[in-house]
Amino acid sequence: MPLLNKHIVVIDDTHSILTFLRISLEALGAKFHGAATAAGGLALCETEHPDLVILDLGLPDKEGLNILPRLKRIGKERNLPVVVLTVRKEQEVVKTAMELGADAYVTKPFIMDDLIEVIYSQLRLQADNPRLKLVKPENAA
Amino acid sequence: MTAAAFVPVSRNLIVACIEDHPKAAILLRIAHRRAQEKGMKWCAVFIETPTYLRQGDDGSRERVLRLLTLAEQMGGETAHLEAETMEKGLAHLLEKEGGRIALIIVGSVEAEGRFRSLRALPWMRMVRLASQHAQVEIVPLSGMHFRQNLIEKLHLRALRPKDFAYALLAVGAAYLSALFLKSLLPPALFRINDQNVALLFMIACAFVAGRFGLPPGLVASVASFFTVNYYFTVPYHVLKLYTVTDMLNMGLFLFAALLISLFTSQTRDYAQKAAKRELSTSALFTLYRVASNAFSREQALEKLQRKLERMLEVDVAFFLPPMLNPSNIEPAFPVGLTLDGADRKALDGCWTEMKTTGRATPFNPGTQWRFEPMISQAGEIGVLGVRPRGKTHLDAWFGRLLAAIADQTASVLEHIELERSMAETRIREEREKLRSMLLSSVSHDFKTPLAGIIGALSVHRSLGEKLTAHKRSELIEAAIEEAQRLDSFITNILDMTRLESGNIQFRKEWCSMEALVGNVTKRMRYRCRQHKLTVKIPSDFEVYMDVMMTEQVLQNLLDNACKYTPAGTSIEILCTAAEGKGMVCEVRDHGPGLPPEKMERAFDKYERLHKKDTQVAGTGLGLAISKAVMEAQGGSITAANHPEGGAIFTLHLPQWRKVGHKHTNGATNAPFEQAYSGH
Repeated sequence: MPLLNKHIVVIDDTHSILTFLRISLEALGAKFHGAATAAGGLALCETEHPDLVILDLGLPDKEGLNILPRLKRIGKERNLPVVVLTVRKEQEVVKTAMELGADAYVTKPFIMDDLIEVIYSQLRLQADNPRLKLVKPENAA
Repeated sequence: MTAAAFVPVSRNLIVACIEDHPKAAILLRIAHRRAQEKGMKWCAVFIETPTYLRQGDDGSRERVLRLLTLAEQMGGETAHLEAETMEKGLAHLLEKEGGRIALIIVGSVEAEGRFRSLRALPWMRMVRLASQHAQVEIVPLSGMHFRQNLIEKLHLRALRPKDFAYALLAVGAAYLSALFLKSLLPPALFRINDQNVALLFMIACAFVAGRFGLPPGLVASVASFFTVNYYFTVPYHVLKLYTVTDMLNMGLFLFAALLISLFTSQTRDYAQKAAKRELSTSALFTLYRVASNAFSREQALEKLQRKLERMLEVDVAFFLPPMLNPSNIEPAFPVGLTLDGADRKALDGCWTEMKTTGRATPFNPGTQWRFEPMISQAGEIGVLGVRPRGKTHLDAWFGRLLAAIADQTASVLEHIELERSMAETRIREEREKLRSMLLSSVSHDFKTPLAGIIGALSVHRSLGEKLTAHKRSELIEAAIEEAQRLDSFITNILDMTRLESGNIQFRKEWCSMEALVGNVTKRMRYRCRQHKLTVKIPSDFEVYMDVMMTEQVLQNLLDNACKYTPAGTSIEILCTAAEGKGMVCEVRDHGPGLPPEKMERAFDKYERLHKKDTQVAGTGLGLAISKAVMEAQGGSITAANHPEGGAIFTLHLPQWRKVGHKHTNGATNAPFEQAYSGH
C-alpha cells in the first residue's frame, strides 16, 4: 500500500475518470476526494489538506488554469504537488500550466499505471527535499 | 531670355507650354532633357482658349491630344487648362503652382502676314508674365503654325444640302410671315417697309445660326439679302440697287445678318461645349457612383453600359481577357457581341498595343467601333468599345472623354476585383479556421470518453484481482458509458453530414408520445442518474413523426440538460397539446440557463466552438441536428430561459391525435378517434 493514508484530491468533471481514479487510488490505500467543479475542488483542498491534487483543465465553472495558483497557495507550506490531467496538449497550454506552478502534466487518454508513476514520483520528491521542488520536473509531463 | 532673380530650391517643376504646331514636340523633348539634367519633374500644359476652341478643328485637337499623350509617354505630367486667354491661363497656373515652377518653356513662332506685331502681342504678354515668376526658356519653332484658311478659322465645315434646306426654310418662313402681317393688318395701321422686313429676316438668320450653326446661318443671310431686295425694296420683283442709299442699306443689312449669324453660332458653340463638359462630368460621376455601389464585375459592367449608352448616345461594349487565355480579348458585356473582320482586328490591335484604335483614330480607322484600352494602376484590364449612333461625332473632346471613362472603368473593375478576392480570402480563411477548430474539437471530444475507457480498463487490468466484484463492474460500467458517449458523438457527426447532404429519409408514423419519451428516458437513465428526472405526458396522445429521429432529438436535449446543469438538480419533460395547435413538448432544466448573448446562436452548428472554454465535451452538433430534424418533419424547436431560472427547450410537433384507449407501445396501427393537425 504505497499510498497509505495519502489524501488525494481529484478535480475532474468527467464521471468515469473520477470513478476509475477513485477505485484505483483507494485500492492503493489512498484517501480519495473527488470534485466535479473548481469551486468544489478548492473547498476540498481547504478542508482535507491533501498530499497531492490532480486537476483537470476544462471545468464547468472555471478554467482549471485559473485555480492553479490558488491551489499552490493553499498548500504552500506543505509544498503541495499539483498534477494537471487534461486532453489539451498544445505547447502553450503546457507552458502556462508549468509557469503557474503545475508540478506534472499528464495528457488524456492515459494508462492508469503511468499516472500512478507520476503520483509516486511527486510524493517522493515532496517527502525527500521540499526545496528540490524549485526545479520543475518537466520530464514528468 | 529673361531670368527670375531668385529661384528657391523647392522649385522643382518644369512647365512646357505646348501649342498646336508641327514642331511642338521639341518643347516636350527640351522639357524632358532639362528635367533630367536638374532632377526635376516636368509637366506639359496646354491652355485652351476660346479662340482655339473656335478655330481649332478636330485635326488640331487630335494633334494636341497626341502631344499630351507623348508627354505622358516621356514621363511628364500633363495638364489641360481652359482660360479666356493664354495669359490668363498661365496666370491661373502660376497662382496655383507658381511656388513649384522653376522653369517655363514656351515656343516662339514667327508671326506672318500683315499685323504680325499686333498678333504677337498676346504671346509677348504671356512671356512677360511667365518671366515674372520663373525662369523662361524660349524655343524658336521654325516654320509656321498649321495654316488655316478662312473656312477653317470660322469653324466652317463644308456646306451640306441640309444647311441650304434649313436656311431656305427659315427665309421662306420670314417671307411668309411678312406677307401674313401685311394681309392681316390694314395699311393704315401697319405698312411693310424695308426696316421692319429687315428685322424679320434678321430674326430668321439668328434663329438658323443659333439652331443649326454658322454655315446655314450664312446661307440664310445671303438668301435673306436677295429676298428682301427682290420682294420688299422698290422697284419690287427686281434684283437691283438703284441709289447709293439702297446699296448702303442692303450692304448694311447683309453685314448685320452675317454678323448676327456669326455671333449666334458662336454662342451656340459655347453652349454645346458647356453641354459636353456637363456630359463628361456626369459620365464620370456615374462611373464613380457605380463604383461605389457595384458588388460584382458583371453588375458593374451592365450598369455602366446602360448608363453610358443613354448618356453618350453610342453603343458601348466592354471587352475583357478570358481568365484562361489572357492574351486574347473577348466581349464581356454585352455577352454574345460579334465583331466583323476590321473591327476584330482593331480590337486585337488595341489590346496588344494598348492604344486607341478603330474609328477616327490613326489605327484601323475604317471601322464602326472605336476601342479604348482600359488601364489601371495594376496594368491592363480590358478594352472599352464604342460605336457612335447617328449624330455622335467622334472628335477630340469625345476621345478625351472616352479615355477618361476607360481609365475610370478600369479602376472600378480593379476595385471590384480586389474587393472580391479579399472577400474570397476572408471566406477561405474563415473556412480553414472552422475546419481546424472542428478537427481539434472533434479530437478533443473523442479523447475525453477515450480517456475514461482507457483509464478504467487499465485500472481493471493492473488492479483487477485486488478489487471487489462491485468495483470491477463499476469500472466496466464507466467504460461502457464512455463508449456509448463516443458512439453518440459519431452518430451526431454522421447525422449532420447526412442531413446536410439531404441524404436522409424520414419515416413518419403515428406513435405514442408516452412510449417515445419512455424509450429515451430508459436509454438515458444511467446518463441522468445524478439528476431528478420528472416526466409528465398525457398517456393517450399520438404524434405523427419519425420515431427514431425524434427520439434522437429528445435524447440530445436530455444529454445537454445533464451536461450543463449541476448534479442533483431536476430535469422536467412536460408535454401538452391544444386543439388546433400542435403538441408542445418542453424539456426544462434547473441549471444556469443559456447565456442571453448565445440564445440566438444556440442552434448554430459547432456553436460551442465559438466558446473559449472547452469544459463540456460534445461536438456542438446536437442542437443543430435537432433543429434540422424537427424542421424537416414540419415541426420546430426553440430555446428560452425560464423566468425562475434554467433553460427550456420546446419542441413543437405539428400533427397529433388523441386515441381512445391506452397504449403500452409505439401504437403504429392504433385506431384513432380524433386527429388534429396544427401548424
